[in-house]
Amino acid sequence: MKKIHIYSLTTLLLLGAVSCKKPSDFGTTNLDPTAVTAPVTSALIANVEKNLANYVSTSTYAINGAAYSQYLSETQYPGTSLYNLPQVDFAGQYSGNLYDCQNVINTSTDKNAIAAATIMQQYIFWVLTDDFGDIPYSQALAGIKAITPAYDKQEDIYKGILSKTAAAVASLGGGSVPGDVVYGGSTDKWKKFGNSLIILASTQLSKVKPGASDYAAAAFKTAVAGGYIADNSDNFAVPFTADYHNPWYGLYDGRYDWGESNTVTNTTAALNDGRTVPFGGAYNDPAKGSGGTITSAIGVPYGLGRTDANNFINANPGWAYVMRADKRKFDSPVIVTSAAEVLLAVTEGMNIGWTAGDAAGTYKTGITKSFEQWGVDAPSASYFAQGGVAFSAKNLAIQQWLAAYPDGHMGWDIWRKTGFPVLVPAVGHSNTSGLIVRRFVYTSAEAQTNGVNLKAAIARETGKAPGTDSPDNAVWWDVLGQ
Amino acid sequence: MFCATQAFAQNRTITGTVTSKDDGFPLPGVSVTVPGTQVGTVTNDYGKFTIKVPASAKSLAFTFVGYNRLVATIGATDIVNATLETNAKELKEVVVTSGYGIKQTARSNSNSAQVVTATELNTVRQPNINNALAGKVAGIQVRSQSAAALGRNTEVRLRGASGFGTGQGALYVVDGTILPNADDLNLDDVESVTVLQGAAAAALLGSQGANGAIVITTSKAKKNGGLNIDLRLGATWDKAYILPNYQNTYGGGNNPNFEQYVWKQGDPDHWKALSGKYYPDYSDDSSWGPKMSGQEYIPWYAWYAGTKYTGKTASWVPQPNNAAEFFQTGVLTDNSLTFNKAGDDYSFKLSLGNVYQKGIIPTQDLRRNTLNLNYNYDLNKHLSLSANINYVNQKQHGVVEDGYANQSSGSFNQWFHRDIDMGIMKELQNLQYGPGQYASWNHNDPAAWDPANPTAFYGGNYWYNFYTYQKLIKDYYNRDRFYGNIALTYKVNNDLNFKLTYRKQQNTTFTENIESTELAISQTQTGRKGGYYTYQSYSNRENLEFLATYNKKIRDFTVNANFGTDKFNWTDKENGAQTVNGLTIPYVYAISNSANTPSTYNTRIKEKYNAVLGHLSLGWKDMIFLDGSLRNDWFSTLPQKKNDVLSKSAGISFVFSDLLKSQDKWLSYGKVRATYGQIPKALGTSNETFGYGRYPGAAYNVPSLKYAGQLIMSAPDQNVDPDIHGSTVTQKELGLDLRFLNDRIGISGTYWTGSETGIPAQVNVNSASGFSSILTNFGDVEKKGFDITANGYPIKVPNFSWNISLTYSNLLQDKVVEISNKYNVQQIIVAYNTFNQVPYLVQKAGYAWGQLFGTGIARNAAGVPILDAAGFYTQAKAVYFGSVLPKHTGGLQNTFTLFKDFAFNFNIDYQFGGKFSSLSNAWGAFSGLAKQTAVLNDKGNPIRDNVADGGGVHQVGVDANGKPVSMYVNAYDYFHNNFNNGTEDMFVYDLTFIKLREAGISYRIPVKKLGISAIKNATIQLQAHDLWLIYAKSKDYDPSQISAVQGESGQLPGTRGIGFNLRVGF
Repeated sequence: MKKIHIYSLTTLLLLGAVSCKKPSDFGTTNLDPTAVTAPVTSALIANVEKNLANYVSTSTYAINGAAYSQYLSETQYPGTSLYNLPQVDFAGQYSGNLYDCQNVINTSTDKNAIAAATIMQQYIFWVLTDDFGDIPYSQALAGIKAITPAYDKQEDIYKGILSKTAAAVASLGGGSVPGDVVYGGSTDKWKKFGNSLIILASTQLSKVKPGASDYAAAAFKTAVAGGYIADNSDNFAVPFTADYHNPWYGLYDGRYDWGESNTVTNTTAALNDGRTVPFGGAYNDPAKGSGGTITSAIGVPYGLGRTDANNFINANPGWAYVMRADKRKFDSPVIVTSAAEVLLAVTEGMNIGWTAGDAAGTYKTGITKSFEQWGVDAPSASYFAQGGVAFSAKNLAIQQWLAAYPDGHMGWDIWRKTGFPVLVPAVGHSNTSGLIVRRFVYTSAEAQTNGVNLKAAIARETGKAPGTDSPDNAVWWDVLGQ
Repeated sequence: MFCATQAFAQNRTITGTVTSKDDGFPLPGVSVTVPGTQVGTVTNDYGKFTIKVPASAKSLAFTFVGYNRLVATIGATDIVNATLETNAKELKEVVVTSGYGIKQTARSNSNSAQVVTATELNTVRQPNINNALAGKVAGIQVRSQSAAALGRNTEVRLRGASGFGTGQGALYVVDGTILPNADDLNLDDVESVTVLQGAAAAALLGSQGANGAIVITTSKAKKNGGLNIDLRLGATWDKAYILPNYQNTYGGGNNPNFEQYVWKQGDPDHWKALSGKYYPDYSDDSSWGPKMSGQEYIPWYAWYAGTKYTGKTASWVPQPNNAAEFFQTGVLTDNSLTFNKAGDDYSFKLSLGNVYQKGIIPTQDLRRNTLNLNYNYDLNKHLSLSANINYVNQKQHGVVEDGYANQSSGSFNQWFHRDIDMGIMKELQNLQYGPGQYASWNHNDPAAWDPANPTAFYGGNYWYNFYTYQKLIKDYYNRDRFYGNIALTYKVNNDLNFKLTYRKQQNTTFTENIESTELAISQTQTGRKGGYYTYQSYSNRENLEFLATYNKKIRDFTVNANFGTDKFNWTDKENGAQTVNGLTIPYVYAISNSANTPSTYNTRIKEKYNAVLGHLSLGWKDMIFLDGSLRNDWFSTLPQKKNDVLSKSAGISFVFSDLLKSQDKWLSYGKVRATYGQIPKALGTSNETFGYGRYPGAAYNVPSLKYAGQLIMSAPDQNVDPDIHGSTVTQKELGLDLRFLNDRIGISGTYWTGSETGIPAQVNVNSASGFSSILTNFGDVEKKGFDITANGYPIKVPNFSWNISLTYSNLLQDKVVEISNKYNVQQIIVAYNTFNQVPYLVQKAGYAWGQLFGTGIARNAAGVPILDAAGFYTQAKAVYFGSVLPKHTGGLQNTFTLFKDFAFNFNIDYQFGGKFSSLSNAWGAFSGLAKQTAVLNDKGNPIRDNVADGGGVHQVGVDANGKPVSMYVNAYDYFHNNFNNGTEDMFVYDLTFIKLREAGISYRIPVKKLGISAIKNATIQLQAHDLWLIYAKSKDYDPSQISAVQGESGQLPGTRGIGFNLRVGF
């Protein structure tokens, strides 16, 4: 029989096992059914908005600045506030939020979406360049075409921020910004936010490019004319929800490593400033985690070593958290840019002759808006009459510092630019120089992935240790640190 | 070609079984021939053969290495059974099993495939096959894990490491079924293990075999009359063995002085007795506190009401063993019961195994039950049916957490108070200060007392009572794995058969984690919230295999050929959900009770391949053999336009001793062999996957939680090369096998070279590009080495013998030749040791594979540290600390047999070279726990004394200008600066060790003499594992058990186990 049968049977089996279909055809087997391959523009924008709050609150980019500008003191394991080497990684911001913005710019056809993404992207670049100095900018975010982008000089980055933001503002209009949870899509408000960014960034150059006809002043003038955030209702306030918590709430959701610095409490106490009340919340407020209203003006002494800091908080159970609990509830918004900050920057522009206007009056409006923002009674005439408040370049800087509290990026920028408030370096400092940190240094990972360009950037560093990567060096606009 | 088998005049079919005279067990692989003709066959797995012989045939000859040749007369019946006697030669020939169950004699095999028999594997009973292999196979590096790490997989490296990740372990093939790990296996079921080292040996397995394979054959029933029942009972007691060296001079806290407590209005009444007494800093979890010299102080527990210690002081004394005391004695019971029966046309084996392991951490245990069924039945002359079915159930309570700051070793070695009395900790584990609120050793200082909020003082600051924590964290894990195959074999004739096999491996898991509400309400800063987490997975792997086998002997030639197909399909589905931000109603552990929207998780994976494979082995005069295999795979995970890969191997071996006259004298066996193999891999990064979804990549995940009503998304950080393909692994080897003095001594040596090129991995690129990495093919890792095994009987006299086996392998080179010239990337960072201050794993061109790099101490050209003005180290951004790969590995096994009834075994294994970094010691030094933080300086004074008083750490180096500096610095600042500044060179250690891993004494109970007729045989053994770390350069950790490739990050201590084993055969 059977050989024939057997052989045909096996042949059949053999073919059956391999063939049916072409062995190389697997259809969509390898496609992930739980993800999409094309981005949703609105989802990218909403995500960056949420993350933008981090840049001005608890991220290293901000909170280190808050320590250096003495908004905040460390309570248990002081390190940052003792000037430990600030070796901070910026890589994640490029592949994260900066590229998310770029992705909108590259893939969307909606000009409002592109403009909003551009403004937020330039805002992030602004924070990063202020932290480090030179960083990749013009060749950055080009994808794998440029995997070792050159570091741009900070001046060029500033020029880019000013011009790209201006172009984005100009292109806004008609329709709305998709996915926008901050302004509900309003392009008018986005214009104000863009112009406010230009105002803040250009006035950061007031020491290095003071000329009224220079590009900083020119950008400033155009932005002021275009309309900016002058009212708290226009603040860029990032909302938080039950599922996405306010970062300051998160900072105390468990540990309490940070407190309001006594530099702030001493300043507000000396000025009899109404903002004392919302600026600090008592550690022993029973509702400190859920929104209590017990104020504390017991600022944590700045710059103590670990033992002294521990002893202080143990001996002062009422020491101050950053902000009163009702100002940092899980769903409290985080203000990225406020009317007070912008008005005080406009004041400076008026004061140095970049634009005409009533500097002293704008100054008062700015301060008043800050009080309003914090929900305290408007400052009285006697408040303004104090020597520590009356309009002057120094007092303007101190008011800017108070108005930006607790945004560490702003606080550190203001101090480095103006030297005010006058800060006493940490007594327990761990760095050899004992100087307040003026910039972050680059990481080991940068040396590994972009070594040649990093070397060139380090060679351009100026300040106390020129040509080396030092936290005692100064970024380009930091005239006082040179 | 098949018809060629019909060319001989055959008119009689003889069947029979060949057994060994020694033990009566059937012998597979015995050559059966008709003298004077070319007719021949070999016995099957069950020692059975069927042979068609010419009418003229008078006898059959049986030959098998290690046994005397036997010629048996063919009588009137068609059955010829043979019983072979071992010859004077001591070393037995082994059978090498490769992919798809294809067996070859070691003689004809051209690879260095090393076989470990059940006896060698189980000289001492190990619960895990990888540990049992350590030192017994040349070229294997077992990366063991602490026995305390319940349920954790160990990994082995075969011939160094490749790839660009942290490395990929070997594949496990159990009776042809591929398992991602072999930890589920009951070692009593193992008959033999063949280790296929790399591409040449494992080419038939294709992509998955590229890193080598460990092929396990389980035992089948053997026909020796009636039912056999084997019972084995074993128990081992494990105790924590190697712990870091702690300082025992200074107590807890960050304050070197006690503070005085003075009772005040509002403080609890029961504190009155403590007024005027002194207390240390309880709240800080370091040990930079006061010197412990027996002075009176207020212990942490005196503040809590309602115990016999309330309001009482104690003596401030060292507790050198407090960490060790926490770890309880672990117990492992490992029992099995096997039923065997075989007849002429069937064999049946059923084994049941049970493992119970009580961990060294209280409340943790693991239970595993295994079932193995091997069944074979001849349906008729041509058709036989076989089934191999395995079921494993594992249940585990308590999940091993051994990372940074875990609540046992992560505290003891990183953040702890050296003054803590662990006995009192245990005694007070149920102490509460409010309903559901538990006391902690790490509570606040009394100034924090607030009558309205007792937790502010009494609650755990960073830590809980360790015993309480283990009770309150409830982890449960269940896994059901079902695997095996059913096969139908059609035997056309003696030479040709066809086999159709269906395999399945189904794994379902259920995980549940409860974080008790008590943890949330007993703390100030741990951030713990009550919670519930659950996760389920279903994974099903199926293969449909077809294999044709043709074996033929034609005159002086033998042909063994196989052709087959393999169709694979994997479906994986996973679901999980977790409460977020605590529970709405305390103590109710349910997803629906989540305080915020619960997070959910859902993954689906599908992978397929189709393969065609063939293997051909040609022999001439049983002396020269040629061997080759080809396999073509098509993978669903590769880009459709080019998804096929071709694996190939070729080998030759020559038994030259057959040409020598001296064959039975000084050189009894000599063989040279050479092989080549090349396997292009699929895209997988582990043995579990061929790389699903890596291509096309760039997918945008859809998060379940909306943000303020909006969908949010983030762009992928990885760019995927559209031409992505798998790497190509190539290996060549040249070997020599020699046996001397009538096979009393055997030596085998192999020199091999290998490479892996075009590795599909992510090149970390500068993220300023917008992408943090590109998934592309790059790199070239070149390696070479040699392996030597030797074994023999130095002494063999009546009633005493000593058998020794040695393995040694030298990894001559394992070098990263290129990363990516295309993208001009010369190095990639692979893995951090939790904190980037601690040296991490890098792959850099021009260096040995797996380098520890990190920020470290800046040094001048002469290697002298550059110090800053205050005397502290300055930082260099990228310091090379060495490769993580050991250079020399191997082992030594000894068996002494006395009066045939006593056997004594001890197995040593070793490795030399290789580095790891220790996160625990970095923190232990920061926290003042490590011994080095309380030593004497070169003046003979404690380093913690003030520099002005002669204390301090002596720093010698140069300043920024190169001028020599010699000064003393404050010890606290010194250790803090090292961490903060990332100058952590002193926390890189050596992986070198020599270890007495196994030792056992066994005694064969003379049941016959004792007149116990129901029992056939019985053996009792006393045994120990990890008995003695004979030598190690690093004193704080057992270098044979480092938890991660880059190093240690808070791992559990290794254990030393002592126990017994009883085997009884009925």
